[in-house]
Amino acid sequence: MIILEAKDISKVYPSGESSVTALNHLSIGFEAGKITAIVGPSGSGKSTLLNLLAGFDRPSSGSVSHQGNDITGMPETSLAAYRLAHFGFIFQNYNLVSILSAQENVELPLSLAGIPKTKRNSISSEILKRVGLSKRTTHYPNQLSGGEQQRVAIARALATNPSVLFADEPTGNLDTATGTGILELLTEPMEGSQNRTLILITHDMEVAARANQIVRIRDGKLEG
Amino acid sequence: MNFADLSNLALRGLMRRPVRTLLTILGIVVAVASMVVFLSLGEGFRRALGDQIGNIGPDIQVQLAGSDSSSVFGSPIPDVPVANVARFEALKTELGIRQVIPYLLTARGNFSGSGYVILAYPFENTELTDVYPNMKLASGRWVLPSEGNQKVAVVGSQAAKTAKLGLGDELRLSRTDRYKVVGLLEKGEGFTDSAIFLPFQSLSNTLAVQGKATGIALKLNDPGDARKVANELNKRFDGELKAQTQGDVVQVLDRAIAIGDAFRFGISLISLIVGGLAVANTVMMGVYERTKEFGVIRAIGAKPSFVFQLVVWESLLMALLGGVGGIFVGWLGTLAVNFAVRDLISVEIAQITFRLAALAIGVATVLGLLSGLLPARNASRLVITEALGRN
Repeated sequence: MIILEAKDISKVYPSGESSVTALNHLSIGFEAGKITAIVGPSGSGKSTLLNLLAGFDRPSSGSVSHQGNDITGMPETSLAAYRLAHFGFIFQNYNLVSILSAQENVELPLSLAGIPKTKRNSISSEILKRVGLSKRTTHYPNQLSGGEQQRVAIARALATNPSVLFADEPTGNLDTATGTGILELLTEPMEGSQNRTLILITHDMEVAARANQIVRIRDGKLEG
Repeated sequence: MNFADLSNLALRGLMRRPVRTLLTILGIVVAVASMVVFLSLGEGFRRALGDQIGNIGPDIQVQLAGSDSSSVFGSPIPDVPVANVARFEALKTELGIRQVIPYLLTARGNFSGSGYVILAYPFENTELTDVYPNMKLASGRWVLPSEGNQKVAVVGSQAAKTAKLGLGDELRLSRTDRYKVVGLLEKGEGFTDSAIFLPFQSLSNTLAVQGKATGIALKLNDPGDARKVANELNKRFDGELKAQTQGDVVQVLDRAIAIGDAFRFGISLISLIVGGLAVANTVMMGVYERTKEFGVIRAIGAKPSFVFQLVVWESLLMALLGGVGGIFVGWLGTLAVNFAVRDLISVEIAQITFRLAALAIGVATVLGLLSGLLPARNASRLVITEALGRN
């Protein structure tokens, strides 16, 4: 079952008097229970595709729909609420909020969703335990290693139980051993899951090899 | 996100740069404190007015029509013909006037600490307690009815201090005119504390203003009729004399204080604007430094309005903390002002009232809101992809 779908999307950026086409009439669907790796060289349009799929940006033409809901035309406020409810994000640079502890970072999306403190605490404690950080809950990002920060980021992304997980170069800043552990953490929630999809942006073919399908992009178009 | 979580996040945001935040708050403290001290002067005068004018003075004061309306006690040079006393005496029964008392008023010294007011009444038919019911003798005696032409004086407690007068001492008003202090007053209401009371005729001779008074005071059988009687007198002596009730006097003084307040507020507005700019600068820098963080928060699902509220609340928190600190420092300032002028006047010249504290908090709130609006608008309109460093 297709859970997230982009139909004929293009993204054109103005550049002086001319323009740059980052994505060119691209269509793609992501199935529930599957891991999809989007690979391609730098400047191929991988990150632009992720931005459009996640609702960070809007396509110049075409549409993106999630579970049948067109998110392309949603007002900004509704789109933010939609992201909070359905999408989870893991970034290459972890992007934790530096003034919040590990547990508070995990609780941030729950807090935004208006979940009461006691419930937030129990959810965040349980997820942090799952990612092996139950003893680091009160530590701040600058007190955690890169691998630990990425685990907190994964815990934060999973906290709201999203149906789409976006991971943008999740192992890009980590050594091989730590990266392997992170990938296991990322792919583990997908095992047996029939209502979630994981979209991995990477240029590392070893990482891509863990996916059920690999999508190659070059010059804003799908290859092959 | 609930208010407690929002506040927690805002506080954490401010504590990211504690020194900068503290310095900004200090800026607000100084701005609000200066406003509080400036405006506390008006509040002190206003309270003294409410406490004292109602208890002192006559029910109605009469001056020449067209004399300076900002001078509630009449022209500085006695200009009301005493002959008018007879005209009011004639109206006693008709208008319910109990007493008609001409008076002279002059001031000596200045605000260097040696100033006092000289008031003269005709003691032949007037007792000071007729005009100032709460006045009490500390030592000596009152001026006797037979001493209307004598050079004797009853001295208020503060005036005794500033003019260095004791019982039996002489007050020298000119080369030849020396008044013997026959009575000293108990410390009481501020105005009479700083006054020296002399017989009308004697002062009239000393000042060479025979036949003239600063004003004529009227005591009524029923003080509640003051407005009605004043209106009637103004009708009858239209263009010649002007009758003012205590309420009119209070109103004139209140208007003078309000003008002073506006002037002082104008001065403090400069420091308030500087404080506001400091807050805006701090918040703007905070937003700039946290662009990526706001991008992350927006990416994971925060609405633009949440970021707007967060930044405005940070700004408000700083301004409110500065406001509360400013009231405290302002209060210390009023203590210092009152201590400095305690020898000049026995009124607490500077006072912080609930109204002033509320105004300070109100101004701080507006300051915080205005300072936070632009940074908040910028933060809430961040483009997520740009904030995250994408594209």
